[in-house]
Amino acid sequence: MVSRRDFLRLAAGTAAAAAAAPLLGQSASASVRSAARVKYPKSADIQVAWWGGTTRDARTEEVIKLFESQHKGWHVTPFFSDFSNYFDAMNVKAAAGDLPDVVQLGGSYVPEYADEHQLLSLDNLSYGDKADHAKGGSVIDLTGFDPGQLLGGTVNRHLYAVTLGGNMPAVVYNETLIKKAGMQPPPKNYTWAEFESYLEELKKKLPSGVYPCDDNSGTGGPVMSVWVLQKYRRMYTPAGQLAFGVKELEDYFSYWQNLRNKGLIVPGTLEAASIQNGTNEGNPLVLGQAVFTFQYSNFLSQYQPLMKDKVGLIRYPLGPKGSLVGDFVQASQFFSVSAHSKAPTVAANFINFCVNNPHAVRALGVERGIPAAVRNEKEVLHSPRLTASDRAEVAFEAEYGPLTRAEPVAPGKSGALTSIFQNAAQDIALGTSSISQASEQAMSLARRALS
Amino acid sequence: MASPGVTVEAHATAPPPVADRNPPPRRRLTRRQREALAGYLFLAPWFLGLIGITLGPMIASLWLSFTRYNLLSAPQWTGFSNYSALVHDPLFLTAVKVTLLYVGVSVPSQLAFALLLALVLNRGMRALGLVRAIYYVPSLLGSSVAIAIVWRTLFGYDGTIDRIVEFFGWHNPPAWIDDPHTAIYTLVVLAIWQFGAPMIIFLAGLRNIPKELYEAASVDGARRFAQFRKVTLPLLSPLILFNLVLQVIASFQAFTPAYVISGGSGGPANSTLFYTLYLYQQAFGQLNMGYGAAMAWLLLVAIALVTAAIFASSRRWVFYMDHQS
Repeated sequence: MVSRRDFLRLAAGTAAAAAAAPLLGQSASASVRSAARVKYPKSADIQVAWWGGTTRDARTEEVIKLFESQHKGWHVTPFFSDFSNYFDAMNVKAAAGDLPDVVQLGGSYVPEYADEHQLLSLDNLSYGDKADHAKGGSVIDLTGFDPGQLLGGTVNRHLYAVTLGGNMPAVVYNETLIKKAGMQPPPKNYTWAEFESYLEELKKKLPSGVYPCDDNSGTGGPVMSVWVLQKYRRMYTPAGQLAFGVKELEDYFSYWQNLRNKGLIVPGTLEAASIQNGTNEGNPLVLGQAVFTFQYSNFLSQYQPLMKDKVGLIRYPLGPKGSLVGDFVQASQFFSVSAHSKAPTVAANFINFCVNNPHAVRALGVERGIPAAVRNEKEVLHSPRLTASDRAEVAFEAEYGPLTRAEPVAPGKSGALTSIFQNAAQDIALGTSSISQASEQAMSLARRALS
Repeated sequence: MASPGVTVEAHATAPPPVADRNPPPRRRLTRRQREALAGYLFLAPWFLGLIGITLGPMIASLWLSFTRYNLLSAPQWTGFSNYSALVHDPLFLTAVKVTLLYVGVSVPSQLAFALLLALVLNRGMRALGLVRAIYYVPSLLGSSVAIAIVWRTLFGYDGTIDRIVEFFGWHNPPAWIDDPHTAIYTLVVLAIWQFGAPMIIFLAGLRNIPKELYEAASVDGARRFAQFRKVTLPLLSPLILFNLVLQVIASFQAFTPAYVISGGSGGPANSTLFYTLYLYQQAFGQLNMGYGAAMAWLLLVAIALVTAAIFASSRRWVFYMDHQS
């Protein structure tokens, strides 16, 4: 079997590896300059912030307790909320120069906060190889980390964020319900068109009140991105605008509208209830209302503990023959250190603890994705706490990760697009806008947000 | 305010501990000036608050409304571009429509309900004080996050209201907060439920209407409804004006219920996108603080104009008894 690191190298491509190399070199030369040993304060109080569901909260709090018990005098104050309100809170804290010492970030927020000088460069606090470490002055051990994921935390050739694990787009399905319906999950290499006919057949065999699929036209995983990337080489132009036009958006929404008209996805009002709920517990798949939901791979280990039915993973549908590969492995989320942290070495030490301490790595499992270094992935795989669904998640990424493309680079301002496209999808689902109206409006809002 | 003045004077007239043969002539404050000074000193905390946490930020926000400001780096002057962008922003127009609908429906409904309850309570009942207090409780709680969460549970998917109407045989009720056609009205019901404050004011007003007027009216043959129209409403009209102005201002600024019930999105399909909620999304979600500041100032002007219009119209429908006597 190809090792995960190998395929991630493949996935990230030579470009990624080449771009990450000077980064590691840089941290080496930097630590020559600050050859002194890292100075830690005797006592420190750091704040650690993350978003997530109840399982993540429990796992992270366990690691915090472990960290505190091994470092007397260091105290960690946790701050967590669900995703929907997390960045509002972080934005306000950032504006007040009060970003938590360790802050969980995702996607476009790393370049956005780094560009605004809110994040501490970790070049001097991290090291990529033993020789580098021997010179002293560094805290976070990044040896063997997947270059693609390191690149995801890099802005203008400086490392600002350390990956907490890799994930990729994946469809989560309720295996129990499919079995009860006397069917098999969709075959490998199925297309969007085949997915539709599969759902039609499944619908006939499902009990009433259960829909074949969640409405993921605007929620869940990066469905639209994958759809677009199956046709376009990139998502954004070099100038940071969308690389596709309104026609593409209309096609995408039409696909979902067709599923909706046939009763194959949950109705707009149910989806609205799920959005309002905003937690994993309110997801239609978890509630038993839908058999399939488009997500990221690490949601398997988030949903399974909440459900009695067994859940599994399949890859997103493929485009018609001749299409490009649309899915990608990415750092599911990062830890960064605030530029205003009063105890940056302690904050960096906490991050290192999370990604490298064997007990912490086991406690965190694969809930935030699969550890970015093979040595830590092995730690997780040998952990007695690893569940069957965790194993399924690892196996899924091992199988499909090598087949993916490089992660598309998102401009710093793209954070606003999620809600713009979610609103458009909801307008269509609830019938308050036509597909063309909603698409036009979303496109013009997106253009303005990105400009 | 006499005692501080007296104390100051007592100290002032006491002989100085170290005697000085020829003390230089000291300018003395008159008693009036001293009292004024004391008065301002007592007012100082309020003044500081007014300047520091109301006026200062207001002026700053006026300035910010002419800038592009993302909270994290310094604002850049952009003139009127925020204001002109508002006109072309479809979501801004949606937010204005949603807010006008909310104010237009919730304020009259709430005032009518408050008046109705005040009339019922005014007919006299045992333990009136207790009932009045209980009815006032929702006004204290109504705009809190906790109540908004309760509301979400009541009107949410498979929530309490669904169970109740199902019990009465309505098997396919609307999706309440999840349906763009009904979501806003669950917020209206929440507003009506906070009828306590206007009710108390109406009740006080009703008690002040002289009994003789009703007696005279009934001698003239006026029935109950005619009495209500010809005696109660005119004499209550100053309080209706008062309640109307207060509630209109408060409704334009409503935020918490829409934020909590829609999970901060203003959904479903932007049907609960209150003006203040969109302002918040722009300012803190998308970091367009300048745009948000422009929206805030526009809201201030709009509320001022609406309030002025209500006052202007009041000459036609508000009746002050003392003017007539």
